[in-house]
Amino acid sequence: MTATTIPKGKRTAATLPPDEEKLKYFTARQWQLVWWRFRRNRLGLLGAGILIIYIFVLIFAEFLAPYGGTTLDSEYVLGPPQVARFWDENGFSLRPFVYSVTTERDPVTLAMIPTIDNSKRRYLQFFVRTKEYKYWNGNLIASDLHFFGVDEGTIHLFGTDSLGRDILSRTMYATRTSLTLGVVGVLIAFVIGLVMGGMAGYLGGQVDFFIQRLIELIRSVPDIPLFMGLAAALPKEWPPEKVYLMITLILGFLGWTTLARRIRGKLLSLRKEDYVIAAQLAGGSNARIIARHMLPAFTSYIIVDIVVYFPYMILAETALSFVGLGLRPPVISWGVLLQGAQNIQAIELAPWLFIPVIFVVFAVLGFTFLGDGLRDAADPYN
Amino acid sequence: MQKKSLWLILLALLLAFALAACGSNDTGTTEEAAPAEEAAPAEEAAPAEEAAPAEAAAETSSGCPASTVADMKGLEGDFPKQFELAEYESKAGCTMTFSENPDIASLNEELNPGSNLPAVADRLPDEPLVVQPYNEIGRYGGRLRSVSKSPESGTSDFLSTRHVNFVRFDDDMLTIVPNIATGWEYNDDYTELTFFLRKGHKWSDGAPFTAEDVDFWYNDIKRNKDMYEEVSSLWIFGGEPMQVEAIDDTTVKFSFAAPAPNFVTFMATTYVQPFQPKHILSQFMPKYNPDANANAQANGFDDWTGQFKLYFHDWKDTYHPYDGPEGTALTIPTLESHVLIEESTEFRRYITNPYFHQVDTVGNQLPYYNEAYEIYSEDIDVTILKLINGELDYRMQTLELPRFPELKQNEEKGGYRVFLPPTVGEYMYYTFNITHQDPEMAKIFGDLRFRQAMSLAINREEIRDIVYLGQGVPQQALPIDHVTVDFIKDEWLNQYIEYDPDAANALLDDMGLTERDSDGFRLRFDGEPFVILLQYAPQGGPVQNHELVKGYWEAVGVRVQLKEVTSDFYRTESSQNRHDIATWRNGGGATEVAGAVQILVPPFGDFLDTRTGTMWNDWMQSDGAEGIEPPDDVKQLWDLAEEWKTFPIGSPENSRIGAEIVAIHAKYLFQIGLVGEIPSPVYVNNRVGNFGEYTLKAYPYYWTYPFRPTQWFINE
Amino acid sequence: MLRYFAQRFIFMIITLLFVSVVIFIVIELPPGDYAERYAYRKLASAGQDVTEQDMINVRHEFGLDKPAPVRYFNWITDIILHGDFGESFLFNVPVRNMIGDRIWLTMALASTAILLTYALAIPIGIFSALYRHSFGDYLATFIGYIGLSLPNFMLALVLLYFSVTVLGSSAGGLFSEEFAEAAWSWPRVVDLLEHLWVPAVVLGTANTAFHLQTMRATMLDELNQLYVDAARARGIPEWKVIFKYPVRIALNPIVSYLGFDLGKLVAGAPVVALVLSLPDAGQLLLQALLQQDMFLGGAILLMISTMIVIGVFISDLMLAALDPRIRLGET
Repeated sequence: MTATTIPKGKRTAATLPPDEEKLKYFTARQWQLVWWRFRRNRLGLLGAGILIIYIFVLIFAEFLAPYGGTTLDSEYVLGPPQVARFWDENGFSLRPFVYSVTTERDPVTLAMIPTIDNSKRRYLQFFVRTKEYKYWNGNLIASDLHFFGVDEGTIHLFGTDSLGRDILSRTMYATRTSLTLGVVGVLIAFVIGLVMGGMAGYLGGQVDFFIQRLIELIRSVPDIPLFMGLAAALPKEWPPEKVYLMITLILGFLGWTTLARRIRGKLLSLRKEDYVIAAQLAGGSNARIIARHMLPAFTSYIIVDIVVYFPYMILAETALSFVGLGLRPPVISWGVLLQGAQNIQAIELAPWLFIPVIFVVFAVLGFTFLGDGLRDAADPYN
Repeated sequence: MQKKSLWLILLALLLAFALAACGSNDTGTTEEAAPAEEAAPAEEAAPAEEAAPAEAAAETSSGCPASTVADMKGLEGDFPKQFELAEYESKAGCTMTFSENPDIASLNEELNPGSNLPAVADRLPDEPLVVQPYNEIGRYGGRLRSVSKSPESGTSDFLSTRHVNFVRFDDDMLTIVPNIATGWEYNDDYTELTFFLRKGHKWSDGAPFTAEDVDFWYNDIKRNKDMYEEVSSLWIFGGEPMQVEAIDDTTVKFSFAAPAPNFVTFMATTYVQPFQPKHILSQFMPKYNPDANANAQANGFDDWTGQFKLYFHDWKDTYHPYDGPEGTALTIPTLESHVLIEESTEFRRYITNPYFHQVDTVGNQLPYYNEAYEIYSEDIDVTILKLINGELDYRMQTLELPRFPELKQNEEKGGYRVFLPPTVGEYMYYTFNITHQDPEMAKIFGDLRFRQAMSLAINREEIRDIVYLGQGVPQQALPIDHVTVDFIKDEWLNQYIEYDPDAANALLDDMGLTERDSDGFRLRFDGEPFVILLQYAPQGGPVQNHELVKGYWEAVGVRVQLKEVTSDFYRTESSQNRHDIATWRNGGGATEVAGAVQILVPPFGDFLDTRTGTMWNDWMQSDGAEGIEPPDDVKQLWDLAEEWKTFPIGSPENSRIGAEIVAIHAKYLFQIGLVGEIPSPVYVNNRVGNFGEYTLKAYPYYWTYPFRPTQWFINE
Repeated sequence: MLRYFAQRFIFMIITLLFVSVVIFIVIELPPGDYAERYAYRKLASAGQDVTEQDMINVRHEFGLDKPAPVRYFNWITDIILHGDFGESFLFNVPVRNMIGDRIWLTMALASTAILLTYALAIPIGIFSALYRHSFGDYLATFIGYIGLSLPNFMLALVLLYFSVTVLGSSAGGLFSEEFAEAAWSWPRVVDLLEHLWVPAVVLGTANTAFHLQTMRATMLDELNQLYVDAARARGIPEWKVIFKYPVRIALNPIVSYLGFDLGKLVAGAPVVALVLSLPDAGQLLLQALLQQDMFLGGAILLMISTMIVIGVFISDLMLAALDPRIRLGET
């Protein structure tokens, strides 16, 4: 049971703190060790912090977002972000404010030109009661409490899109959609990949042969066309959410092959290791040998793979949206938002439409830092 | 070991290229099928020539004055901006001698390999059409560059820049002027129409063009039972197919069973060309060639019509040389300004027609520019980028008002102009499929209250501000555009256009659509989920509208699912009556409607438009044996439409009957319009010379055709 | 090794057959069939109404009236025996005439992207592992992950925009206008490269980040192995310590990915190709699938899949050559 921890302790003994700590260290369970080490990893903590913020947004999107995801503001179409400030030439204010802004059409180019009224301040109000919403698409309690708003007019901290919808609010709703569905897809892929890869790598022989062929078969079919074919076959009366969930499942079911292949490869090399053979001779069951002795040796792979998988899920969604098979408006996801920024107009006239990209990047970085931190922490030879 | 990893990388590369080679082996015959590469050496020289200073067409070679629209030199044609040769010579007091494109010999060699090129005077008709250029005598050479979505998308601007017909609309959009024909003549009751052709007019391969070619087009093709089981309604007047008769080589007579006063107008605006090269196409017809069927079958076609349709088409962007089996490619001669010479799945290239029938006022044979070159770009952003970059010369189709700001802002940098002419019938509208295959859906869509509610639920002011950049007027869409006639009443345009979701909800509740699902969406009468699948093609109008409309309708509890499809798919679905709702841009210019009155009767359009009430039409066509019986006043539409087109547009009878027809449409609210009177962008590169002011951007006037693209030139 | 080779080869063939069945099913999945669309295009566009009989004729003409297994059998035997991929409904030409050039361009694109990926990922991955937690490591990781987290098509458009506005190249496509129809020549190759870099970078970025991360992770694992310590202790020069085994083993997963890389690039290409208006097989595939042009879509899918399967086969062989444990594990 402690067979793997003892040599590790010996190797790192020289760097350990005084006796009492040492004792604690030797008797600690593996995941406790991991946590102790992880704690010292700043980037890992940063990643975890980022993800906690995302989870917070995911749960409380309706409360945090100043507007609904499809609320139009026809006074402020394609408007640039409004900057919240504490002071200007008219003096300092403890309560942050934005200037009153409207957009008007340029008579020649017909582009929307924002006119900022420096004399008019709109003060930010917190915990305002405005538009009523129902948590989680009406599945939970109804409320009209919003984290912030302005005393008069509207506030768009990230600007608005070509239909006058608040990008900040939309980004928050998108976070919920994309992350939840990403998690589902990753979990499916992870579980299947672990089981199949583990079986193939450890059992070898016929099982390995069969699973290998299955993997090859699945991976030999190009994914995007496969999705297109499958998506085209989904019933037309399905709401987009259901279609997307379905596609997430498909992504998950088809995506496990990467992980399985890697686990198998590693296991193939590992299973001839002396300690594995020793465990086998000692009569350990297959599952036990895999879980107790071999898994720790390639935890790092698994973590890196899972981390890498989230972006894959998120990006797969955007790609599918692009060919018209992913999520469709009015469902709001990162993919839908990015698709809205996918034109020359956005680059030339409304770069703020790219703000959601930053959210996607940060989500990916969050997963990466967390994954890296865990990886380093779980590495027994570190 | 380093070596070994290097070796590995090399191997990886080798693999990649080996695979590439395999890929090409599988398709070993590729080289033969790609004319692009073989033709290449000849073309390589071409850009070099173009780079040299463009050769100025001789301004002084003939004794005639260089009269232009800008500087007429006191010369005005009987028809605006053009003359017959004799007319010009007598008015200017000169004798015209003709000049030609200095590259014409090589162009002709490419077009008609090995043929003798006669002198320019012999290539032109005895009476060429003298065209007054807008600003100046142009320079020969160069290439007009444009873009289309795909080979067969109907979005090629070259369709109308190279187009010819008997007649043409002048850019004043009022006067019909001669083109292929030198003139026309109606009898007193508009039942006989005679066109006079140009003596000595030749196809682009040099073969004579005569009235026989018109006769061939109609009597051998359009009325051929093997080709068309029934004569298209375009050619039916008073219930009978019209008659076409070649009187002599240059005279052709059209006879109608009922007055057809608007037939000339139709000819000026339609894409249909009422002449086909009999000397080429007749070889594929059993009537002229007993072996036609056998030849077609040898080439893998079921019968001669299959092969014939390879070369002949009414509505196709162009004839595709690569369409047929190997060895069947042909250059089909035309009367147009430019002839298709090369085509691939990436681009197509047209070159000057050496036998084109127009000259400028000093006797230079038109057109000036050597080539028209078009690439395909599915993605509108790539197109926009090319436009902003000044890589293209002309584009009008698929450019939408929402893309105007970005184009306008880069005008100077890109060296082009973009402007916003008014449009006819750019209104986007929605038409519910009243005779839906699913009776439950038909019951809902067929209820007038439903259509009224859907109209009231739409916030048109918001659409106008957001989608149409504040341009246009909120109004209903009617089958005949109110700008082009005088009999449209404001009440028809303005009914149910106010934004009133409460009233909409009340109407829907009143219908009995009161049951809702857990998300608050209404259920059908039978309790099943009620989902409208809105399939739309981007060609049908700004896609943002659909998103907004979906929001408006869902706000009153009607669930909408959006799906973007290709135009082709869209048209198939609607022509097979498999759609819930149709949406397109309204055509509706009176001239267009007069030529194609099927817009006025169910299913309200030909295959290019949207359809509703298909089964009403089935009922009428089968005398009640099939389909669904339409309401009585709808039944009248067929007779009214036939009657309407027998009176010239603008006449009191025409207006009276027109008003009756439109009143029925308005009563049933077949089309739910959004915003009307919308302008739309036209793009032209600064290097295109003699570009006129556009008074209109409208398919009903066949896009570029009225603006005389044959006298454009490329100003390097 | 020979036995291993033979074994892998036979299974490659079996896999290919399976894949062709899957492709056939995928193509058949969408409701409705092409006959309707075809009949409509051919007849209705000529002003005729499409009748039931027309539909039956068209179905018969294309053999759509036969049961699915028969259709599959005919399809696959024509391909294998005659290299005949059928005729494109959409373009009315034999499919093989259409895809030849495009497959070439797709391959050129994929190879360039792979080359780029390896040229960046391997050295940077080694560097990152050796100088873990250095500024360079973080920078490489950061840039890599931003590359990974940006959607392909978005990056494509932005790069395209800058290549046009800043670098002044022509927008979209693989060739400038003057070279589109020209014969192959050196300037044409240069022109191709000028256009190829955008899609290659776009396609390459995501994979670069992935391989970089894999390379770094495996390198780290290997560097912590006892044999490395042992080698160091024996006084072997540091570069030799690193390149002799850790790098070699760390290349293992990357090599095992070659085949899939190829497939991923080829399959991911359609979306990028669409944005960039590239005349490659991917764009044609999208068109074919959207319009249900079965034979065309099927042929391209099959070719792409074949490449992937062959790629896997070769990467398996390379893997066996690289790591003897694997091929011995099989025997």
